[in-house]
Amino acid sequence: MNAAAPATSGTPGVSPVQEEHGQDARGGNAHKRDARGTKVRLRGVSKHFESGVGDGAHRFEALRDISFDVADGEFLALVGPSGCGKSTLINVIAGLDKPDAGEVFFEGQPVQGAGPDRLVIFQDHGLFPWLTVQKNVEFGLRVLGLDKQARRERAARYLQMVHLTRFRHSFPFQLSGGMKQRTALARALAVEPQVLLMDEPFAALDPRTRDILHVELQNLWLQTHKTIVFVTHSVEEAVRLSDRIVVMASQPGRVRRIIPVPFPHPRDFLDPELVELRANILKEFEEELEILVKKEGDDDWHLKAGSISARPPRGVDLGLADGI
Amino acid sequence: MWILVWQTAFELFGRDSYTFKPPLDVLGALWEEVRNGDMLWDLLASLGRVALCFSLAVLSGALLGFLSLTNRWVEWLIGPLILGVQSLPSICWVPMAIITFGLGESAILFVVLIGSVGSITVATRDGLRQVPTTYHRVAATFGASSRQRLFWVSIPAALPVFVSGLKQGWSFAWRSLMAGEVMLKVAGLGHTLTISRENADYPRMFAVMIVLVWVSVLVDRAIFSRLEQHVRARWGLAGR
Repeated sequence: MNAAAPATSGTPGVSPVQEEHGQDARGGNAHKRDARGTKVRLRGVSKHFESGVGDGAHRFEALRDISFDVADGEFLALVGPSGCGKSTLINVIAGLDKPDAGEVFFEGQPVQGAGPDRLVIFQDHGLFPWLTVQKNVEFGLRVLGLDKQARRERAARYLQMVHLTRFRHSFPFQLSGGMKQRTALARALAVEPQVLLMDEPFAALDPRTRDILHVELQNLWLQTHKTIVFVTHSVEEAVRLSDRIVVMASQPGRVRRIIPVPFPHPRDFLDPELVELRANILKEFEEELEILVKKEGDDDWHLKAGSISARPPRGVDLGLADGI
Repeated sequence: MWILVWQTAFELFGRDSYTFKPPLDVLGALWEEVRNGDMLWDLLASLGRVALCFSLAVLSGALLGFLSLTNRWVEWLIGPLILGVQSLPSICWVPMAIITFGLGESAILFVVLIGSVGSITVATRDGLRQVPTTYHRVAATFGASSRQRLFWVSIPAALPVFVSGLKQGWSFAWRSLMAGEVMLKVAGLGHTLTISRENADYPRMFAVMIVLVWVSVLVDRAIFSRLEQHVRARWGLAGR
């Protein structure tokens, strides 16, 4: 485990005692995190893809030697530019894909396949258009074999949590993007998974809807204490929501740094220290962006050092799509 | 209004014609058919046949379509065959049907079946194929079994395409039916059509043609188009 976090990291320690005393639920210490146990463990995970055939065949290394742990109840963000293998990594943790090398452990056991204890929320929500909101939320429960009454009650509870009770009989095509993602969230939470894997869930939404959903997700997390692995290409999002940020690099996909975010929850999104952290993380990306710029532009196009990570409003946003 | 057009055309061109008849005669013949019950029997016979065959076609087509996705050999066998079968106009199947099944009901059933099963097979196969990968992943991540995934995800997702196939298959079935009935001596609308011509009872011939069109449009509107619209609306595809 990348235990480089300083002692006063303030990283989550979900202690029921703390909560009862009305303390902010995330005010624990590093040692508390160890005590809570590891939900997911990755060791040396690598994966490559083949594309093309014969002479043109070309091996693309999506992930190389990824190792880190995810602690119980932690909110972990995976941040990186396009092509750094974040989505592949999520699929591997979920069991939807197999790594070519390395191991993935979930609660101490090697991951065999996909299942509702490591549930994925996809970027395109994946709601079934022929089912109402309520029936969509009930889907996972139906798979689990709950009877009608139980399904209805649980679905109602989680729909209320995402504030969509009024729309329970609507169809997905009648909903906005934000509403669809909230439905997807309710559907996922309804099966009460151990770990929630979110693959850029808010990427397709406009910034204001995203702001709303950030607050919503934060509240839900504080309420449910779920372990969340959140993939995003927005450093802003990661800094707002997570306890630790795994900064990834591309070509090949690998872990660059793991950065703790030692601010208490619930967070003030406009906290200047948060902004500072964001700027610092963006510095990490300069090298990545230079690669991107080289790949996608003329030879004489360079990024001026510090142009990305400069403090707002002077920064030039070149497609990390923070959008804010 | 069409009656007016028809009457006008008759006045202008058909007065001396032996074959072209004025609308009143035709309607009169139609009424006569209805009144003496012949029309009813013909309708029942034809509709009964097509209902039976079409249902068979739907069942076998769906099965074939599904199998061609799950089994490589079936796809290899069926794929080009379906294309060939679809390309052959139904009427061309009648001679072979007569040779194989004789001059009776079975021949017609065969023709209708083979005329419409292709649409259903293709619709089933393509419908299941175009199910977005995301849905499969959602099913997987929720831990659905293969059976659950098939019945709760794949089939509903394939339904819009399948229903369009049903609509198309129906129109092929109806056409195939007429091809068979016209050429064979069995009770039904097609036969009545032929007999009318042979007996030079042209009003009756036109009357039957009108009925044929009506039935086709009615079934399409009342059953298949309705179904298609309903499915598309619910799936959120309305207006696309």
